[in-house]
Amino acid sequence: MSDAVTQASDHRNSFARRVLRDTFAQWGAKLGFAWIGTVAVLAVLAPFLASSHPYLMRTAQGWSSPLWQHLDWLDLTMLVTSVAVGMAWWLRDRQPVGRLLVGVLGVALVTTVVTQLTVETPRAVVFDQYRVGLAQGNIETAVFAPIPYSPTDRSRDNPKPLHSPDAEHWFGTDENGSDVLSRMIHGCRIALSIGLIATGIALGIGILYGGVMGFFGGWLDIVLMRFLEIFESIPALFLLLTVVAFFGRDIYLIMVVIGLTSWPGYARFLRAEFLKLRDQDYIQAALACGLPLRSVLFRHMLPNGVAPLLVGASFGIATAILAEATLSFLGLGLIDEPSWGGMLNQAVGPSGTFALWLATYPGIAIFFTVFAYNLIGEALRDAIDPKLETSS
Amino acid sequence: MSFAKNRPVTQLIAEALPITLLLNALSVPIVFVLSIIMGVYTARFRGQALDVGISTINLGLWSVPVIWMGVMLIGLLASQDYLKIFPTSGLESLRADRWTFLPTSTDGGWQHGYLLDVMWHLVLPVICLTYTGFAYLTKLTRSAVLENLQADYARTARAKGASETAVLWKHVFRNSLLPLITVAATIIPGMLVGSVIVESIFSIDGMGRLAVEAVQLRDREVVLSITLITALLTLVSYLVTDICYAAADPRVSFE
Repeated sequence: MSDAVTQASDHRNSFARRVLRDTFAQWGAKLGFAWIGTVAVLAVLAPFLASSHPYLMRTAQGWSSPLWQHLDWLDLTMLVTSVAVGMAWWLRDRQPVGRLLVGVLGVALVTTVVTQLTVETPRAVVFDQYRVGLAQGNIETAVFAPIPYSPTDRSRDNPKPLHSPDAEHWFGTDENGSDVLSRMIHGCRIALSIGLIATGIALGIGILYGGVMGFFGGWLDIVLMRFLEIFESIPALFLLLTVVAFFGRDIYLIMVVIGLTSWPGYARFLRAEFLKLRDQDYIQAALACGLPLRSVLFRHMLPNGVAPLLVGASFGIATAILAEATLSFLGLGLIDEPSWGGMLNQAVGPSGTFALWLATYPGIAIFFTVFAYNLIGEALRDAIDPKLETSS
Repeated sequence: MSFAKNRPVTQLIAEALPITLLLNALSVPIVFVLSIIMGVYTARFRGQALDVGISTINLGLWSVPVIWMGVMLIGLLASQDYLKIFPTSGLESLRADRWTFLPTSTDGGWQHGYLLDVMWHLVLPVICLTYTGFAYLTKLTRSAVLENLQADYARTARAKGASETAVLWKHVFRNSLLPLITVAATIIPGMLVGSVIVESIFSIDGMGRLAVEAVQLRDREVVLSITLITALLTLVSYLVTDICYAAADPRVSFE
């Protein structure tokens, strides 16, 4: 009875919106979302949480803020974008979701361009100048971040490679002497962005391709399907290894390759949905009204066919994160940028030594993130699948 | 010719391929047998503690990255600092090829032989190759068996007095095999890729390690031929799957 009542009051919400609400009513999705939110906050605030540059320091020349001067364009773009996301969340009931998404993306793009043109970050950075300066008295006072080590700060003034956790380095140091906790906080950025961007690319291609395939059908469907099968048979990890070896280690390239190899699944899902939706009365009505094709495809069909894609996307994000971690683990990831997989690589030394702290903390971080996306995926699946309600 | 090693590529692959195939020949049956058993019994006792427990554990295991599991297994079970139970790398001990094949006791004392030695080296890699597959296959078996348990013919079988075990394994399970075979086609190539990671962690000289080394040295011929062989293996596994369809379900035929 109560189901009928809620369904009746749901008539104004789209299927996708209802699915999202049902999903986040489950504890698994809540836990997963909480963890990913934490990682996102850490990623945005990374330079303020872990940095060798003091917030404020006082020298003979007066007060200055080295931390602020050393922020690069990426830090600023992420800050501005996260403020935009917060505002979009606040406006979510008053504005359509599509417009908010476009707004956030626009803000991100504009700030990226503006900051890349205007912000100049000092190239050569000597991290230990602050600690040495404090000890010698050149710097009178300095206020440091909670973790006073940058991810690439190798503590040249007091090198301690592969040191186990103590009061100074809470999570120990890696084989270069960098602080593990600091590297992990900065590593959140790669872990988050690789999943979102790679899956975003894959979803974009998949939706266009699958939509066309499912809507038109016929010989076009057959031709495009063969094409898709060719793409499906490319082994992603091998391609990644080859691309990285021949074109250099670029995080954006890795994202694009992961995106380009994972779209066929989404295209298949959407094709199946569109084949089913195509014959529904309201689509026929929309066509009969003479609406343009893009309106029929993306306004009428997509919101009703997108739910299964969300399940695939949330598992896809987990896969993309694992792919990047694996690549870094094999020693083919980024060179100096902190990445969770790269830290795991250093845990077992060539001579059989084992650094437990280097294995545990990054490993747990990867595990939690992947598990969080998988939990959300499972919850989405439960919310979409009508069979489960009756059988269990 | 591989320019990095100055040896013919066929020779390199002839050495590496059997090792990778051995790893997969061991782990594929383990994955399938264990997850079929788990899947059938989680369906049989659905909603009970066994079902919830196994499903949660499997989802958790599925999320554990292979690279982390491998590093932790090596670190905790094989390194000098902790328990030194298992070997850290390779497939055989030093000079193991001079040993007898089976365990024997000679004048010099008990010798555990070549076979046991290789087995010993294989334990950790096989664990790493198998545990991620459980979640998916168990879930698949579970849903297929659940669907068939509610089918009419299952009720008929119970009505004619067949025991619950017979209904489960002889009637329901036989009919739930098809989706499993479909997945086998996609899982076997996946395992070949998975052995890239496992072979790198445990320093086993198989196809995966050969591929990674070749890519790092930009050894073009080796990369090309490994890709070709992987593609061939994938195609063969698809073919075998199609044949298995016909064997498992008499309704399917390729006439």
